[in-house]
Amino acid sequence: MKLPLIAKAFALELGFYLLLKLGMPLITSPLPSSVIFMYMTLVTISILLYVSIFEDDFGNFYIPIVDFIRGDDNESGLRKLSRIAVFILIPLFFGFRSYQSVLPNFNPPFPQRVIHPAPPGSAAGFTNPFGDDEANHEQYIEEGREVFYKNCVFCHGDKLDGKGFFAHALNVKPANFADATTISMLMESFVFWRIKTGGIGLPEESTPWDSAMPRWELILSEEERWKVIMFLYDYTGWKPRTWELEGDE
Amino acid sequence: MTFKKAIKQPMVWSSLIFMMLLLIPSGTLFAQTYESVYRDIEGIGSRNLIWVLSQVHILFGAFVLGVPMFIISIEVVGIMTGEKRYDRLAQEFMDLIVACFATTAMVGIFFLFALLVFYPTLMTAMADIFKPTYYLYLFLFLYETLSVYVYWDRWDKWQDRKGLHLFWGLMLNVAGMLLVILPSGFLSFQASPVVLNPGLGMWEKAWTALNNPTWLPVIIHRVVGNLILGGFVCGAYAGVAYLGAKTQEEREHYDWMGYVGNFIGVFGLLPMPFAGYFLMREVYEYNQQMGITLMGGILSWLFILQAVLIGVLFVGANYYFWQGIAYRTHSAPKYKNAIIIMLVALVGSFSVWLTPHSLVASVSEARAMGGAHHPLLGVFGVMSAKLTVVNLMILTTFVCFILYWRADKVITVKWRKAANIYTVLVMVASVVIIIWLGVYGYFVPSVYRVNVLSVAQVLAVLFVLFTITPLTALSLRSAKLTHEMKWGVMPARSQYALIINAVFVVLTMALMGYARSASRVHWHIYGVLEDTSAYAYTPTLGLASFLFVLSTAIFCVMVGIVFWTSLTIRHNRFSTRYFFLAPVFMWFTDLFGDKSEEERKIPKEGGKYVLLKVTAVVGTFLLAYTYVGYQVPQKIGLPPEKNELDLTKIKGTDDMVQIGQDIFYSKGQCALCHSIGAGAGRCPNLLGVGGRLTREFIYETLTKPDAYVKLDFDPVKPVMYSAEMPIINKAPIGLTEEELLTIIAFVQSNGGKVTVTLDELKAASKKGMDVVPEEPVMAPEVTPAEHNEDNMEPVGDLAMSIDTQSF
Repeated sequence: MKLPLIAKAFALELGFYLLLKLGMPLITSPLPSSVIFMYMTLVTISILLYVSIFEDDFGNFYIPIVDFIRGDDNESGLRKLSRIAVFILIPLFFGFRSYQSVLPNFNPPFPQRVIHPAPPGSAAGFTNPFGDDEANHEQYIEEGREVFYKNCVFCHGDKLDGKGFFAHALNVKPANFADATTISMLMESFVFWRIKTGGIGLPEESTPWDSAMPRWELILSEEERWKVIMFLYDYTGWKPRTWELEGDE
Repeated sequence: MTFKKAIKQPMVWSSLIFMMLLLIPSGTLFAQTYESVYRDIEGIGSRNLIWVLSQVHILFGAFVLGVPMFIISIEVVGIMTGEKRYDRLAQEFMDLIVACFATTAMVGIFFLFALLVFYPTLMTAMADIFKPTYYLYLFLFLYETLSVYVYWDRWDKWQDRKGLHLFWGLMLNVAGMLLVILPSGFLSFQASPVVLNPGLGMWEKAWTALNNPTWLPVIIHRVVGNLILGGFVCGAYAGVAYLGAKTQEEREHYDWMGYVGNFIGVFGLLPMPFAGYFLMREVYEYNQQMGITLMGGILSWLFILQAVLIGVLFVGANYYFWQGIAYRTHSAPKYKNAIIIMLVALVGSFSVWLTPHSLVASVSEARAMGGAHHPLLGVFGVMSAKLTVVNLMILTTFVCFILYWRADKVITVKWRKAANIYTVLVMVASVVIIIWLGVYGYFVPSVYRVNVLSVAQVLAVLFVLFTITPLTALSLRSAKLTHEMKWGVMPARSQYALIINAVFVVLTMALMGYARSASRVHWHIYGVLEDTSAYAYTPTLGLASFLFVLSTAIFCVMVGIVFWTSLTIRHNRFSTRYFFLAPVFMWFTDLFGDKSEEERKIPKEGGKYVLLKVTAVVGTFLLAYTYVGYQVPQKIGLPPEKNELDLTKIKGTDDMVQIGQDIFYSKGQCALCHSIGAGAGRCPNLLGVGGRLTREFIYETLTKPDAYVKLDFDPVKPVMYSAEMPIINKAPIGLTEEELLTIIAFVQSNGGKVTVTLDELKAASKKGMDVVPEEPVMAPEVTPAEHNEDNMEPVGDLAMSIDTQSF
């Protein structure tokens, strides 16, 4: 049996929704509703675009809808009833949504975040004073390791994967340095500045940024912060972002 | 055209007004330091007014300068193929240009007036620098006006003298190109100024300022942008005309015109990401901070809004192509599957393009996800993925175009099989390569990805574009046409796609124009002339979006009126020469006059309520966009607090270094040229310089930069831009003695030990006298040529012991 186009479109929508909503958690973490909404919008738009390209598809898709809304004299009672039901349900649905949105709500609001907090101009000027000292490289990393396990490990975890003891109590989880998309995308000077300000010491223009990270400039010395950065990159194997290719000077 | 007639042209007298206006600031006000003066306009805000005026002016300018580029190309095609329809199309595009020309100048004058009234200081500073180029600009303005009218007016009369006519078309384009190049220099200087040493000659100064790091990329970006805007706006015009067409003949004509407009727009769209990439690279090279502000900070959400616009544009342009295949060709059903694949590829790429790195999630969702980054989708959020999918989107669009091109044709050349195999192989290979490079990009350092992998991806796309296009053209030359294209049968929705594309191009331009200005944050001229007005802050993206939409709406309405009055009302007395309000007024008064029926006749539109529907659709999209603009975080960026050197607040060395650092990045303008560690600046990299130079030497380089010039001072050679180290304690920078000391403290802290003490600072401020020797410490003031090898020791070895020098 050949399915009518509308049914196909509907099945596609439903299939995608189920895949995103129920299928995703099977293989990885569940998706937030904002992302599902975005993808479903794209799916809907694609379907509408597709059915409006060819005249025959457009007719097959559009005419049943128009017919359903318009109705005709010798239609069945069921059809008539379902039309009335749809016209009652649509405003009810929006009414319900409005009702939901004005209802007192005890959930915290969605945290808004920038992509990266923007550092002030002066933050770009830092370079690792130990970067060139090849002879004592290992020693600095050892010292950095000590700093890490005395200060950072509680949140960022002993594997640097953001799963420390405190992590489960924090909203907006601590950064996962083992991930390919965190410190490997950042310049050393930026990482240095982020550790310096933490989440609390960020200047106003660098927000909104939800983070409970302490302001390490009050706790660690500059040297300690550089050493811990060296440890982060050494342990994870990432390289900080730079602007010149090595040997390109 | 007689002189008497010419002087009545709005363009000519507006040029004259423009000329006089430009002469005012440059002629009367000259000052080295600027006391900033601002005026405001109640209720609207001077910045908002300037914003909208400049945006509308620049949109008109883009249209007027962009369209002639393809008018002349279409005319040449017409001459080469001998088909009259090309010539007529080019002429019709030229009608649109002439219709908009006076309005462009008019808005420009409004803009200039507003600038003079609200930002006189900025105008004075700019005139100071660019004075001689203003004369050039005025000349270009008249030259452009002349060529526009000659080219347009003589179209019919010089039909048998095409060479002469094309010459004027070329003149018009040369003028247009120069009119893009010159003002781009003004605004790129504002964003990326170079140091202008005193003593530069008038022209030398102007040239040095023009020749700033982002001048070239801005020019390229704008020229391509103008082409896109021109193409899509012409397409939208054709779309509206198609919807309102009364006869099949008109529909066929406008259908074809819309197709040409869309084609030109897409043609420009393909290289645009590369042009944008070039510009961003130069911005980062010039000033890393500016790049971070744009891409990583408060403005980064702007780029998400932009991503939405770009994606819609790609989808819209392809949608129009697909409908072209479905309606104009006879082999439509054959392409159904191909279109599904293209749609999936495009929307799939689009969804990756839109997926942010930090997802918007409620607390419980974020917990379930294990952080703000999704373990699977997180990889879509970074540049490697974005660049990959944008390349795929370009490729898909190209495939779509090739399919459209080949539809209804039977290729007869002998090597058709080889050509087909090659085409498919290259396409598939490039897709595989692009995706592979994208994935590989996650496993290499960013710098390698940016400099090697991304470039390779772009090259793969360009290779496809540049080999398959000529190959297809060659194989189609002798192809048998199975059916002629059917023009004029497109459904209304395809025309709305054309219109929406134009609206989104205009919106994108408004957005990117803002991004460029906003990257200057609280500076009129970055690092040189600070914006101290009440509007120095960066507004919320909601307000910004509202202003983009307002500018777009004003532009659309004005263009609509211009086109309507000059082309639809084919009234004897109405001509495109008049400023657009005049025909409206005349049309209105004529309605009540006793003119003959003939003269009053206005052609009825074909479709019903076309303008109303178009306005409604455009309005809906603009409202939706404003809504989206308000959905992202609404933050304003305040200018940093002023750090007046307040000795009572300085407690120790750290404070001193901190203040020195602030001055280094602000008033001292040091960071305009020098970098510390990051990036190859235009001048010596100051990394670790505190360990290599003595304090006395640092002081000398600041106050007498030419006293002792070391050959081959460190890795980078300052050759790219002519800029000499300015004397820091003299105008225009003019740091005070205590400010100099803090700078020295900061420089010393970078790799060395700070020897400047608090007491010295206090003494310097009390006495206002030098605490360091007057005489050059290292060398007498000699030119580098007079140095011999002996005093040219590496800086590190100078060790700065004054007594070892024997002069």
